[in-house]
Amino acid sequence: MNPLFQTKGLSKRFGGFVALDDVSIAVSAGERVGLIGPNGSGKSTFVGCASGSLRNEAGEVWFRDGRVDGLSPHRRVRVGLVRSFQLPRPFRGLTVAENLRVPLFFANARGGSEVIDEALEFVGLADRRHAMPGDLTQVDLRKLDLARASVAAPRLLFVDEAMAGLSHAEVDEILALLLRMNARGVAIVMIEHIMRAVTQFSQRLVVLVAGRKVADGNPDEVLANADVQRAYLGE
Amino acid sequence: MPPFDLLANAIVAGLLLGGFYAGVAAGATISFGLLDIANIAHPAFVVFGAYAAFVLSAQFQIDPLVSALVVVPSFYVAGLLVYQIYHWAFERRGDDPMRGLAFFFGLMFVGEVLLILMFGVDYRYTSANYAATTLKLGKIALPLRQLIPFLGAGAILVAAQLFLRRTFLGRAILGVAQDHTAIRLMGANPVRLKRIAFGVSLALAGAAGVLLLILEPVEPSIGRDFIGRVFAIAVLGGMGSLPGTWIAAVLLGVIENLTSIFAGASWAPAVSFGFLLLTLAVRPSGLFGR
Amino acid sequence: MAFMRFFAIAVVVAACLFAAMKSVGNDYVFYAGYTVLEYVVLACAWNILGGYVGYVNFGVAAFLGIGAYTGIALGKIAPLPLPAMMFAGGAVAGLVGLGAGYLTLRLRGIFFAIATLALAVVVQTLVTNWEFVGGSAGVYAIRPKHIAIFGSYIEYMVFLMLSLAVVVIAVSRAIETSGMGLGFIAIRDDEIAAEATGVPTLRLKLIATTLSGAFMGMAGAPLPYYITFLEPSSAFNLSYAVNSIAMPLIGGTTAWFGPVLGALLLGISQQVVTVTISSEVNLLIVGFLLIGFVVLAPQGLIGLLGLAGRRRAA
Repeated sequence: MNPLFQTKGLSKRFGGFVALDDVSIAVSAGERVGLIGPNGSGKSTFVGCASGSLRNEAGEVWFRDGRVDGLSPHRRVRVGLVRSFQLPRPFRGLTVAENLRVPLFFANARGGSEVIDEALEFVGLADRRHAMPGDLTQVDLRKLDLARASVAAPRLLFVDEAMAGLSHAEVDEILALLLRMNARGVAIVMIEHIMRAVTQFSQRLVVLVAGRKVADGNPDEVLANADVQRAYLGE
Repeated sequence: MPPFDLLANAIVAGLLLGGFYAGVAAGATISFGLLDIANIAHPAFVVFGAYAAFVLSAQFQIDPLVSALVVVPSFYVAGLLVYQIYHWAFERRGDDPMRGLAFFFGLMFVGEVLLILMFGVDYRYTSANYAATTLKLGKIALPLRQLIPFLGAGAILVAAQLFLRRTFLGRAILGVAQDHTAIRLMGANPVRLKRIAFGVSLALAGAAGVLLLILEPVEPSIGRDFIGRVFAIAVLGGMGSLPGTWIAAVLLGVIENLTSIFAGASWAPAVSFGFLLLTLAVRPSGLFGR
Repeated sequence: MAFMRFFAIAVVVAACLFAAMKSVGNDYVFYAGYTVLEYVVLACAWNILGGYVGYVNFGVAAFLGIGAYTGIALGKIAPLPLPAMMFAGGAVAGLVGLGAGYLTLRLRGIFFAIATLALAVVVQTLVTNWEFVGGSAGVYAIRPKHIAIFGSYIEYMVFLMLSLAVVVIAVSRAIETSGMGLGFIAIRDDEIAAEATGVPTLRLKLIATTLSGAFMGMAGAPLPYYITFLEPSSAFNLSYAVNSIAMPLIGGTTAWFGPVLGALLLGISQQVVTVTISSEVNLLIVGFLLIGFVVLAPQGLIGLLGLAGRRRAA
């Protein structure tokens, strides 16, 4: 049984700078994977290549037994490969509910408007459905991002630092949300710096350092790994 | 194969012109390449500079090059003002590139119409006498009206490059082009830096305008010919690289002049714009990419 | 309101308008009306790409000119009725829009905008060097004295332009209420997020560019017969771009009645100012209004009047 998502020898360069070097990562259906690494290690670049906003120079990206390297981001969304962004990117001219109509119309093959109601309930924004994004708090904007991602009916969701800048309680809120999403069968790759969140969440931890994968396995073992410790704490 | 003399002179003239184009584009390299401000009115400001020099020359008999002493600082101040409005209206309220573009387009258009109302559509010349002389280097003709703008533009670029690379303010501006947040963390105010940089870009436009008046007669809509050139050069030159700007400009100048001489002047504008379309379709980071 | 009802109402309003113009008994109202209607079409067409999607087209004159010169070129080969010329002009202009879009719409909006400027220059240069359609010297288009049903030719042209305006407005409204229109707004507000939410951004941008260009081309086809003498420097005048941009930005960009309002107000007042003061002062006013509204009232008149609804610009 092939994994849901897989990269084989993924490499990406920006001019002379090597952002990703021969990275091979696999994610199984319904899995919870944490992707960590020091700043600049290539995590966001990896998400970019996986979701299609960046083109990889070498290697392959596989999703649901098909190669997706050449597909534009919106095509990948339609087959269930979705990402959220580091900074929330709502559609500022649309209400919360209308924001969700976009993925409903373009990416969700089966649902009707009840999908929007359900997604709003799911993230806890039902009472703000007519609000404009400009009036939402940071954590609500993150929830809107996740609601929008969920309406697209993802099978795999890349969550790129959704908890940066949130309070302790807000982090817990988002964490609970993601766990509930995963319970419905969505595989989630969490890119995070907040260690307690990512260790609580992940079944498996992958570590990127300077564009290379240096560890991949059980969270406790990975964190105990000498290479990983050195990367985070310095030589 | 055309006679060598004609070819050689065409290339040299293209070189001189291209060097001047670099001076025109230098300010746009800063505003568009570094600050990411789509000021399509930049060539219009160059034309304003030419008319300013014309007025000073006609009313007070001041030589165009000397008038730069007045024109350049006043355009710097104008740049501060324009940026302030731009920032208040657009950058502050969040991204609306469409309206930002419309704003500069409006400025360009209003400026052109004002020039028509003030000066009419006739060509205006400089009265500087030296502009009519031509130096000779063997078989190669070097008209002063082309040579002076070439040298002047070169001076503009060297000065701008030194400012950006060697002064604290200049390096701070380069920094703000790269990373807003880092600049803020270092205690500098990105808005203030961008305002100064935009002022510099318009000051350079004014300087180029003075040179333009020496190069050729001006009329209000002449700026439109330069829009394509300026942006083609800015993109080809790598979006923010002054040396790249110079090389791209010279390249454009030579090809344009050769086209003009061998295919006819009516085809010349299409060259720069065609260049631009090609560049955009093929390589947005130009030849010297960032 | 369902689309068919909207379309029916629009047709009725247009018919009443035409009847009112006829009742004046003076052809002048048709000459003035043609220009205003031309602006309505151009403003609405521009707004499909500029207002809904957020991509600025400075090369309005290129598309208008393509429509005009396609008609001229066809007329020299085989004289066709004006509606057929309009379709032909629209088709060619639409194709050019598609091509230019394909080259540049993968890039940021500013590059597309500059490309449209480039397009205007390139098309003008090509036409200026093309002797078959008159080149730089220009070409005459003889306006027939009479036409069946309408009597005077200018009434016929106004009828056609009015019909075109109804079509453009109806298409704009259809876009606004459709899923595609939602996609347009998403692209305008945040193109990267739109793509990441499943919106096929390139395809939608190409559709908008093609539609917009085609409508402009259709508006250009009757132009030679209106001004009777067509030459490149007036056909490709930048004032077309200024007006086509100013009218939606002043009226409001989020709904079809914005550009219509802007076109009616500015179109009519320009007729007055051009005749009473001068065409330069007229353009000056338009330019100042454009800058003023863009800086001070980005939502336009319909925003100031509280009619912008919730689909306001970002």
